[in-house]
Amino acid sequence: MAMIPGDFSQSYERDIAIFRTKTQWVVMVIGLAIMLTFPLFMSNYWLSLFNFIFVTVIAVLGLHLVTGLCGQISLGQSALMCVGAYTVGVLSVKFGISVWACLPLAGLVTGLIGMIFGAPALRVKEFYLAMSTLAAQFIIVWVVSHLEEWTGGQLGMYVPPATIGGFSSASPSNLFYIGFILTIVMIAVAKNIQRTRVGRAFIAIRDNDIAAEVMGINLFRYKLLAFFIGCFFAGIAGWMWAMYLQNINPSQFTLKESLWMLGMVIVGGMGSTTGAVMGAVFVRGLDMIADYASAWAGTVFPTIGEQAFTAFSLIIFGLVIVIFLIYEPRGLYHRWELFKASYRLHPYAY
Amino acid sequence: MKNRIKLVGLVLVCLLVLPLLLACAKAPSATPAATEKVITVGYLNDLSGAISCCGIADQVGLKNYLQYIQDEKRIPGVKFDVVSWDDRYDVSRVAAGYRYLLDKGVNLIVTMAVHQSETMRPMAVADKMLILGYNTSELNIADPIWCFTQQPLTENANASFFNWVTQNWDYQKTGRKPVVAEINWDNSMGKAGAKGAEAYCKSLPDKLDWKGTIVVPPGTMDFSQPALQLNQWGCDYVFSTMVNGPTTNLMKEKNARGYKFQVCTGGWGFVCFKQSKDVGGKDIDGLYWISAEGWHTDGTAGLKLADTICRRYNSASDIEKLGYLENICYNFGLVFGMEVEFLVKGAISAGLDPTNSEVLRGQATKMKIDPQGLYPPMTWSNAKGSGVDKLRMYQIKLVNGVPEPALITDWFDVTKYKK
Amino acid sequence: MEKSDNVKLKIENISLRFGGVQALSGVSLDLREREILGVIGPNGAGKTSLINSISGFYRPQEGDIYFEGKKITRLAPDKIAELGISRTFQQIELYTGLTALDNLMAARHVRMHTNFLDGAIFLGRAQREEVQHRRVVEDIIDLLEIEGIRKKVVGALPYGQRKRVELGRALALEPKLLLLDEPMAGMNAEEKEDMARFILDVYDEKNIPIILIEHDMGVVMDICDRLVVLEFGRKIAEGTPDEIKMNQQVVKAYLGGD
Repeated sequence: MAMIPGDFSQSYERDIAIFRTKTQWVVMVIGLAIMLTFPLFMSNYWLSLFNFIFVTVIAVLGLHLVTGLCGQISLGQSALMCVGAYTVGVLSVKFGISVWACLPLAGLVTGLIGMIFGAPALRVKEFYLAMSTLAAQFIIVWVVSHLEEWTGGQLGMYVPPATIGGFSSASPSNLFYIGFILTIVMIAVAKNIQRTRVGRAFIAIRDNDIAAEVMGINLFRYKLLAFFIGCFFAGIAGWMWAMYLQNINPSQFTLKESLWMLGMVIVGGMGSTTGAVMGAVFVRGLDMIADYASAWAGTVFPTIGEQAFTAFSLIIFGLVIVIFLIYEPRGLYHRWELFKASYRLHPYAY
Repeated sequence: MKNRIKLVGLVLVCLLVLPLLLACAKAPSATPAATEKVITVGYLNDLSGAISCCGIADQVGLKNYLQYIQDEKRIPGVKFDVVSWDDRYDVSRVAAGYRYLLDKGVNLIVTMAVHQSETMRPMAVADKMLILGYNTSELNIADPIWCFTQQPLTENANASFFNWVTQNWDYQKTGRKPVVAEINWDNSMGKAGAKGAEAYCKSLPDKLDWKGTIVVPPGTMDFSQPALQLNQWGCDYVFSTMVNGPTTNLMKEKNARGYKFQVCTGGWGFVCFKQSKDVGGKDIDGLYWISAEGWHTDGTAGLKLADTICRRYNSASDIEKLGYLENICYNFGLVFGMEVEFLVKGAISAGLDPTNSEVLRGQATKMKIDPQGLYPPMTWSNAKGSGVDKLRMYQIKLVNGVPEPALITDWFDVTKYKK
Repeated sequence: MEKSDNVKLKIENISLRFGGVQALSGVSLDLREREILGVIGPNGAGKTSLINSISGFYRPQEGDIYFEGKKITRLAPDKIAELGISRTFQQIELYTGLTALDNLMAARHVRMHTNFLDGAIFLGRAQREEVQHRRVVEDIIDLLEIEGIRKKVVGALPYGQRKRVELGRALALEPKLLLLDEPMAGMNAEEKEDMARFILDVYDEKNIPIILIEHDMGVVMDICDRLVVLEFGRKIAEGTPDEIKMNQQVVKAYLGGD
């Protein structure tokens, strides 16, 4: 029996596809189908954790587009999620607009506000831009907490769940389905943008803005577009967050979260969609493992005390990430590529 | 070769460390007898973040009291188990924590800060899960009520403090009104506190010279500017609706500069007694404890019980280390324990299943502490879950190293100034 | 082939100053539709400034530049690129994180028309466009013989290959005018020969005029139809390679003879 050594694309359509072989399609479909069965046997805790991861993945994908692809550092992603969440809250509670209709609106409103804060990107770069997006973090949260008539200020507001007939997002399993579909769609959108005209323009700006301009890319327009798309993602994540907690409060959207999101992009590997997803799942998962480990350690070593372990788990959590970045500065995605490469060459070790 | 040396070294270290760890380890406790009912209490609070000094003491208090119930056989046939979740004072971890606790099969959840119960509320309503909190907001106790709290609404507590000021200020001797102000972090607790203080003080313009509130961003720890401002206003009393860290820093700032105003804060502000004492030196009059009608009426006896239980279940070094006795939050933990005791006892005597959260919630709506208890009689007025209407205030002082509350202002009906 | 005398690019009397430094003063030149124009001159003579002015990167204080009869002096670089002026850089300025293929595809930007919504959906317009432009890019890859490094990230490629990819990127824009800023700098004789061959191939196949800056006199004399000599920002001579060789002023100023 003849074996084809390697995988050769016979058309450009096939060559540019994300999944180039039938096997890849089958593996993906089976994987997604298995995930869809999670609500059948998983407890609400695990589903809720997944929902939280979905929120994070969507927001981090947005940041990946702005920072990972277009190279514009943004420290305000969490605040922009706040805009999305409050768009849903205000529109649905004060104006009676359907929560479903609020989903695209949350994305659009957040995208437009993101463009305002992204506008300095025309003139400033890198750390200076980071400063101006940092301002977004503080200004947005301040404004939201002082528009008391609309947002309830620091006291927060309750957001109704999204419902269709008897289906309500209030139950974690239903929200899991919504979050799952949203996440898959957003991953596909991020990946598609990355591999087509606009995405290449973003990367061109990141890698060499001088050359990009000379090669016909309008820097200002594309930087703004990057902020719009990235913040659109943040808005969608904000909608999902509002559905996840059903209670939104300005103090939920902290600078710390924004920084962690940037950290997730870095841990995953700058500039790769898969990496952004991996980074979000890895950091959230590690956080969860730290919780379980400390609870377990607390019961096994009661003399040391549970509190000592909870404090310790944070240190370990931080340490793992620092060590990881020292040994794999190119991120999880790079590690994954190495693994795939070695698997492909197996059993020949060259 | 080098790798092998490393490997051997690693194995050796593991072999050395393992017995040490095993020595610390304790064999898992025996499973309860089949006849025993196990009530699993979920505890969601900050154990490693900004208010962890309170969260830890509170957790120990709760655990100690539940142990006390078992040891004294106050509820025969019932065993208590506590499952904890550390939210690190981070709202985003509360929802996951709630699910975690439910996953562990808890029958009710004990928590502390407003943001915690507020975040859990929509889920608790959907899951019919009873939540016992420490303080609350108006949103939180709107129908349907699933969150019950120990303390009055923050705004009412603040009002009751200024009520005390009007009662104790010597208008004739000073020939003027007391100058008062309020300071808070820009968060939900602070907002509520500012609202209450402002509404009360403005309702009595001839008795209080209200200067206003100072709002600082959440997380502020440097109070040099706010303290200067308060001093320039010439304040006599400043109420701090903040958690222990910032309040302590404000007091430090005031003491270092020799400003004259008095900083006061209430129990709901999570003040760690020890820290306030450290700051104030011999005077710890900055700390007040405001309690709702029916709660903690006999404060002295309550503190005595706290002292007994604390010494019984904790080593002297632990008491010293965490300052349990001086940490008012330990007592809150005890009160949570009492609440749990009341709910479970009530359910059993009514012939209902105490492991059902809905049954416990039914009991909570008619909460009245056991007359045998040391905090009699306790009621949850108007089933609103907060006992919000009448307040009493204590000042806590150390007498021979033991904290003694002194009643400084008796029943104050907050509904009077609110119309 | 008959040479056309139609002027493709007209530079009229441009002057460019940076503070007190006069980079270009009163330079004029015409580029015909079918020619390779070499720009030579000692270091700091203003050769790169000239190219930067054409591609809109610098804005001359005086004078005008016309491309196909249209004034482009005040246009932004991306607009000039859209008109069909493409270039390479003295120091390679590639998109280091992209593969060679994507570098070329990125240069198709101005010839592609899908927006981000089409891109997000991918199936349909964006996919058709990708495939269509991929064909064009593959032709350029064939022409420059970089098939083997198509899917390699350019940051990791050796110098010579990066230079070739950069030429490919400039071509992928489908230019009507190509500006090459020292395409052979830092190359050995063999690589130079290859590059010269590619430039001539491009010239023949794509039918576009080229402005070439190069230090290697041998190469310049061999492949250019006409030469312009700059010194201290001024044009000191213009003519065929043979004329330039004979020009006393040039010999004195630049070729170092006496």
